[in-house]
Amino acid sequence: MRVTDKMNQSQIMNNIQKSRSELSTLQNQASTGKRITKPSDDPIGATKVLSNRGEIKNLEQFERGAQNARLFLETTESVLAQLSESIVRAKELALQAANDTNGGSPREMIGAEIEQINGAVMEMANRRIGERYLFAGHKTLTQPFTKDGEYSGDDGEMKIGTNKGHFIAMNLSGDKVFLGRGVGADGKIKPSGDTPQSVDDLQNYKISEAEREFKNDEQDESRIETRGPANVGRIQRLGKEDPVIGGEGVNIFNLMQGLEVALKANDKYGIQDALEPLDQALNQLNLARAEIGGRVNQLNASTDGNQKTIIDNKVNNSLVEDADLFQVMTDLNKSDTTLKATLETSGKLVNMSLLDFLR
Amino acid sequence: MAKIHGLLDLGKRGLMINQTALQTTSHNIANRGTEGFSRQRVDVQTSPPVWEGNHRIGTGAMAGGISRTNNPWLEKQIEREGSQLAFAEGRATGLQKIEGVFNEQTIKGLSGSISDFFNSFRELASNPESAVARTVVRDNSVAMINNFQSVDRQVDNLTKELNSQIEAGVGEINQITKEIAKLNEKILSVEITGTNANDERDRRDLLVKRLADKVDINYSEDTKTGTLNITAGKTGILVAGTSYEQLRTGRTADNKIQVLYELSDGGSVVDITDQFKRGGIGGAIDVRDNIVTDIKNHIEVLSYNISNEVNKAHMEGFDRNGQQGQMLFDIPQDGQFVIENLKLNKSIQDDASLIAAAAKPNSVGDNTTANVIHSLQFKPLMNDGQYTFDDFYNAKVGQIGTLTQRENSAFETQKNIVDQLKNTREGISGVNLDEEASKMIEFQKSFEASARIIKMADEMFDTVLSLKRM
Repeated sequence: MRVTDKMNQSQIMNNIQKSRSELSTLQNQASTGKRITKPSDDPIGATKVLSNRGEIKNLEQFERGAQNARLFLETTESVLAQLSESIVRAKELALQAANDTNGGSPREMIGAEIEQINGAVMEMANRRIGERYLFAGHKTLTQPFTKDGEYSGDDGEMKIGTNKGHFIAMNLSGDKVFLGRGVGADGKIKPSGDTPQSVDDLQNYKISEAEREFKNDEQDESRIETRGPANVGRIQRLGKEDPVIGGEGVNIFNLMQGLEVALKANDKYGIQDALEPLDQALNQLNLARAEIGGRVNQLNASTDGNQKTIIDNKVNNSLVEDADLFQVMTDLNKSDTTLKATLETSGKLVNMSLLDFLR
Repeated sequence: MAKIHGLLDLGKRGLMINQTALQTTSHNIANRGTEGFSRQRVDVQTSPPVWEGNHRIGTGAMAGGISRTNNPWLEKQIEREGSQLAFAEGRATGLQKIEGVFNEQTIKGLSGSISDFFNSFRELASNPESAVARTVVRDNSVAMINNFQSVDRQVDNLTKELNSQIEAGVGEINQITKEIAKLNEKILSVEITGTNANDERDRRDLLVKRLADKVDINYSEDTKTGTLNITAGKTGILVAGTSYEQLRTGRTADNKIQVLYELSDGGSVVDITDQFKRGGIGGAIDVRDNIVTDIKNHIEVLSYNISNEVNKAHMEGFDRNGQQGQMLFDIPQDGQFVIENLKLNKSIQDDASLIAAAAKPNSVGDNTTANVIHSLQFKPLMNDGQYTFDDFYNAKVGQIGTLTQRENSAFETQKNIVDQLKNTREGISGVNLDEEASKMIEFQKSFEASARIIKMADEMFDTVLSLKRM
């Protein structure tokens, strides 16, 4: 083969270029620790990393939301625990007072304690976390209960996304917990468990919510009619099935106020009548606490899952995009040696010429 | 019987021919580094013999001509493959730049800001009453818009860059064709005398290759005159004999540089941009018209769909003040959407409390609409319900990566082919100093010997002339 000077030259240049570009790639890998620094290094890997990163980001945000929801639920739970204690105490006191041996002034004293408890219950019903009322439904910035136990919140549930398409409600509305609405078969239509996730869903949701509200308002109106204003706050009606609309939950405010009145009025039968509803109220609270417990469990489960996915994604990303440093260092050495050898032999080759031997 | 003065003549011819050979050798050595140079050699022939009685006796050597060592078929191959190489290089460089725009391996890019946008609605869903969460939503929306616009701008800049590449390339083509036409003229005038225009041909071969590096050309040599006719693309005749035609550039309505060819002087002008499928200009046109345009469209569709879908949901909702939600993104309703003009609704920009989270008026704790908006991130709302926003974008990034990877390796392969061909060409046409040095010695010795012949003839004359004196 005929070898000419230019051939030598371009071959040397090519080889040096090749070694240098290899070295620069390896150096880049060594200094960034990444095997993929641009999509074309590994298109499939790069896309995977990109979507994993997006998922990590989303999951971390879901986690923040879940954290917030957990705090809300746990605060609600502690309030309900306190409330249950109060009801238990009220029951104890009512039992004491129901006995005739305790008649006279002790009933009045017990009534005073119940009055204190009632104040505390009212305070609990209006408890806040930060700016938000716990038991106001969607109207979180409006005090849900007036002194008379009038509810001005709604039955809205605040749903928090915990993962793609998964939502957990983080609040219990006050009308359910304290007024017992929507607990028994009182004909009240409860909010839908589904969370709208698209524009169409949202439109349907708005329509069905409006319908629900209208029907519930109708219910409320008919309720007032059958009972009549005179019956409001009357302990005698509590716990008894309504002949028209069937059974319902316990209105804790009415119950406690009725008990207080009965105690102060030294009304033995009134007190005795309150005993069973107090048990019902406890049940109602326990039911609510169980619901919270269930939700917290769900939250914890999804947090566990999310954390695991985050770690999996990170591990996966590391596997895909991180450079194997040992490999890189070994390759670096190899390329370095190659470059040195190229330079050394090139130097010798270029200097060789017949002219050097002609004197 | 040979004559003594015949010897003198023979010696003189020997001197001359070796001198010519030495000159050619020196020419080779001097042009060792000249690009496109083919080594030349003197075609030495025996000069016609003379009759001496019954014999024909040799009269030495003469130069038949000086020719270059060159393989025209190889040159043509290099031109072809070189044109492909320039095309691959043009595509690879273009794609590498696009890849740079979409490279999120080390920095936060569009995908990150889309996630941030939806995450800010997740945060709002957690705190639907919060003014801070609303401010974050507003700022992240603006950040996402900016990111879209920045990507769009970078893609536009790429188009501009490719445009100026094409424009500059056309300018170079015009220079080259002018020079080729001149060389044609020179070669014609030289070769009509029967000698080879070696250096001019070398130069012309080189220029043809350079031309092929720019665009796809077809060329053929007129065997009678030795001139080269060159056509660019299919119809753009650049060089015909000693005349040449200049290409021109124009701008299309959407601001793309096009390559124009004038059919006759002052005649109609045709757009031959689409005829270029090879060469650097071909590569630039391909990247500009296919890849960049496609990507610009994708980004536009993505930004439009996100803004439009979020708007639809947002307008169903109710803001912090219990009012019906407005458009979050200010997009034209007549379909004339361009990313450049995408912006946040002015009134929301001024007052973040107009961002809607609720599905009912007057319930500040309602987060239903915020939930719907952040759920849109996982809904297949692109390509008629095929992809989510993320999938759509990530698939595009993957596609760019794959294209770039493929083009890079195509470029490497093509470079190897061209290098190999060039090596082969150098093996045939290149100058080897060792060879030239040994030739130099050879011709120098022959030169000396020829001089010795003249001296010998001179002595022979002396011998003959001295006969009379004896």
